[in-house]
Amino acid sequence: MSHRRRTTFRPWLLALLAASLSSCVSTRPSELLRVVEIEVRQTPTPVDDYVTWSPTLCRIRVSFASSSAPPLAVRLANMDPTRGGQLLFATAPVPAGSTATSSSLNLSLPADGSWVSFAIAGKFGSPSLRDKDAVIEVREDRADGVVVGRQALMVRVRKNANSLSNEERDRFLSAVAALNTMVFSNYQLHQDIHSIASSQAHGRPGFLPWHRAFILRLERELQAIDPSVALHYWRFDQAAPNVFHPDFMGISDQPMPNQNLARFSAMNPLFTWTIQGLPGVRRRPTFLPTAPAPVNGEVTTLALGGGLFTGFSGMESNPHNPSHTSGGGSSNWLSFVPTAVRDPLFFLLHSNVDRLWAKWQWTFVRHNPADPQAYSPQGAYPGSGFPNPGHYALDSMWPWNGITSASDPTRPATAPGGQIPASVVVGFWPPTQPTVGSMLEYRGNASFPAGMGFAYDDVPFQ
Amino acid sequence: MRSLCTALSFCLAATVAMGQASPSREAVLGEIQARQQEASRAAKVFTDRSRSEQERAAAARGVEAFLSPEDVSAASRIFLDRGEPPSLRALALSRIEHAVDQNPALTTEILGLVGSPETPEVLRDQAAAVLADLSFSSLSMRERSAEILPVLRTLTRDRDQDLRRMAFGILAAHGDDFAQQRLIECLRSPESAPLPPQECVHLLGLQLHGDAYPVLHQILLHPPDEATRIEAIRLLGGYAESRQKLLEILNDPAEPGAARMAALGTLHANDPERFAEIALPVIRDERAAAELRIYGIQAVRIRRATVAREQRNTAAAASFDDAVREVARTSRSEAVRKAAQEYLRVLGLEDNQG
Repeated sequence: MSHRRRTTFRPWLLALLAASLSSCVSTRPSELLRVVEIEVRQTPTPVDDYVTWSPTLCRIRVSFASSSAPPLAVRLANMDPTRGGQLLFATAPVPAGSTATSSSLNLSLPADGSWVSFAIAGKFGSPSLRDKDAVIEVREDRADGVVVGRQALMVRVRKNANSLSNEERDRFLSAVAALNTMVFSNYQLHQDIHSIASSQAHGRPGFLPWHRAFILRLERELQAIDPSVALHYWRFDQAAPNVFHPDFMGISDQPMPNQNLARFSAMNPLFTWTIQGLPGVRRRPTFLPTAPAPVNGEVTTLALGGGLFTGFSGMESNPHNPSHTSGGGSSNWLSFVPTAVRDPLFFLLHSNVDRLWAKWQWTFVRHNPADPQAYSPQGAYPGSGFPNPGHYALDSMWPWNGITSASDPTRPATAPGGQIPASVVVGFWPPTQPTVGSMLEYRGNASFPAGMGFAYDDVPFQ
Repeated sequence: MRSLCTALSFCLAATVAMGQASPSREAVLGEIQARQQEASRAAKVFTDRSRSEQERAAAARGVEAFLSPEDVSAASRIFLDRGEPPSLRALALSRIEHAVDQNPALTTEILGLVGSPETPEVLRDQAAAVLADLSFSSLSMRERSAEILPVLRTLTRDRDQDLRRMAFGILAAHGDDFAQQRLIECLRSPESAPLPPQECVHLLGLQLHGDAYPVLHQILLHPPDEATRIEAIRLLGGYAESRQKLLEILNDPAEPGAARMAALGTLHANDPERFAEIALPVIRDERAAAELRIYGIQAVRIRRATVAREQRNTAAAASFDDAVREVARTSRSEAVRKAAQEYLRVLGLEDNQG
C-alpha cells in the first residue's frame, strides 16, 4: 500500500523513471512497476563506474521501500549481449584471487529498500568501445518479467593501440595533448621524473615495478581529463601501421634527410606538440611502419628465465632497450633515458613492457610479492651492497617516497611530483608511496578487490 | 571447399567481433616450452665447432635468442673467442643481448670491439648496436661509466660516420660537456666537422645548453644551408636575441613554408601565454599555407580548452576569436575552415558566430 501511495503522490517521478527505461519494454498495466537502483562501487556517482577484469563490488536495492511488499526477485544480465562492453556477475564477496564469471545473476531484493551486494567484472575479450557502453539490465525474475532498472558503465582496459577505433584513438590523443598543456600535474612532470630517475628505475630488478607505477601515474592523470581513456600499448614485436600513422603517433617520412621529425596530420592533437621549449616530436624509427621493431618477440620474452623473475627481468635488455633505440632511431628522443618521455610514444612502449610482465605473471602465476620466483630480491635493503635501495621487495620507491639525496645519497637530489595520485575509480591502490612489492598484484587484493584499475585486453584475470 | 572457407571466415569474423576468447595457460606454456626447445636445438648446432660456419650461422639466425643459462654461457664463450669467425661472434652477441648485463666480461669485450677501428665491420657494427641499446638502460653503463665515457668520446672522431653519430647521440643526450663543445665547434668550423652541420644542431638540441645559443643564432643569420637553418630555428625560441628574427620569418610570405612552420612551432613552445597574439597575423593571412594556419588555431584551441578545465584565469582573446570566426566563415581552404569550426565548437563559441 505504501508503494502505491508513493507513486500516486509522485506521478512525475514515475513518468521520469518509466522514460528512463526502454520504451519497447512491455509492462503489466494492472500492476505498478517497481524499479531498482544500482550503485557501481557502492557509490552513487557515475564518475567511478569503470571496471576491468577484476571484481568490482556493487549494490542494488528497490527504490521505493515498502514494509508490506514481497521481496523482488530480479535477474541481472547484459542489456545487449551482442554489442558494447560485456559484464560478468557474481555474488559478493568474491573470494580473493578470483573474479566474477557468470553471465547473469539472480538476486532477491528486500522490499524495505535495503541494499544487496553483488560483484561484476568485465568479460575477457569483450571490453567497451566507448564510454558507458556496457549496461547492466535488471529484470524481474518471472516469466513475464519486465525491466526494472539499468546501469551503464565502461569495461575500460588497455588495448593494442594498433587496433583501436578512431574514437578511442582520438580521445587518447586529446587527453595526452591536454595533459601536456596543463600547468599543474602536467606531462612535463613525467619527463622530469624519468630524466633523473637513473638507477632508481633502470638496470636493476625494480625496473618493472617502478615503470608500472610510473605509467599508472600518467594513466590516472589522463583519466582525470577523460575517464574513458586507458593507456594503450604499442606491440613492438608486431607491425603497427595504425600507430605509426599521421593520425596517431606520427610517421617519419620527411623528404629532407636526417630531419628526424614525426609528421602528424593537421587535425591530430599531437600536431602542435611541444615540450621543454622544443616543437614537434623527434623520431625516425629504424623500421618501416609496416614492419615490427627488431626486438625479441613475445614468446621468446615470456620464455626468459623459465618462470623465474631473475631471468625474466632480462627483458629490460631485450626487447625493452632495442624498442627504445629502434623506435626513436639514431640520436632521437626515445633512444635515451634523459629525453625518452618527450616522445609520447614512450608510454605506449612502456604499456607494452608492462603488458609483457603482466602476461608473464599470468602465465606462471607470479603475483605474490612474497614469492621469490615472482620477485627478487626479497625483503628490504640490508644497508649495503647491490642493488641500491628501491629495488628490494619491501623498499619504497623514489620519487613517490619523497626521499632525496639529503637523507640517502643513493637517491636523486630532488623527488618531483609527489605521491602516486589516488584513482577516482579504485582509490588508494597502490599506496601513495608504493613499495616495489606492492606493484606486483595489480589485479587486486582483499582490501582493494578491484585492483589498480587497469588490465590488458589479452591478459586474463586468472 | 569454398563453402568451408566461407564458413571459416564467418567464424573468424564473428570471433573478432565478439573479442578474443580467454587464452589457455597450458597453450601459452606449451608455446614457451617449444620455443625453449627450439632455442636449445639451435644453440647446440651453433656452438658445435665441428660444423661449418654456414651451418652454425643458419642455426643462430633461426631463433631470436638463446634462452637457457647453459646455452647463454656457451654462446658467450663464442662471442669472447677471438679465434671464432667475426660473423659468428656477432651472431652470438645478438642472441644473448638479454643477458649481457649479467656478465661484465661481455661488456668489456663490447667496449674493446667498438673502440677499435681494426675490428671487422660485421662484429663492430653488432657490438655498437648492443652498446647503443645498453646505453639506454643498463647497469654496466652506470657502474662502468669511467670506462665507457672515453670510448664514446674517442668514437666521436672515428672514421665511421654512423659510429660518430651514435657516440655523439649518447653523449649529447646525457649532457656530456665534451660532446656539447665538439658540436659547437662543428658549427664554428664546418669544414672539419665530424657530422653535417644540420646533424650537429639536431644533436645539440638533445640537451640544449645556454652556451650553444650564440652559435645557433649565428647559424640563423648566416646559415650554411636551408636544412641547418630550419634546425636552428627550432632550437632558438627560448633565446631572446633571436625572437625578432623568428617573428620576421614567421610573418614573411617569401619564407619557405618549412621555415615559417619551424618558427611558429618554436615560438609556441617557448611563449604559450602570448601565442594567440603571435599566431594572429598568420591565422588572418589567406595566402599562408593551410598547415600553418591550422597549427595556430589548433594550438590555441588546445591551450584554451585546458585552461578552462583548470579554471585558471586567462586574458580573453577576443581578437583571436573574432579572427577564427571570420576564418570559419570565409576561408578558401576547407581544412582551415574545419579547424576554425572545431575551435568554435570546442570552446563553446558557435552561438556567437553572427
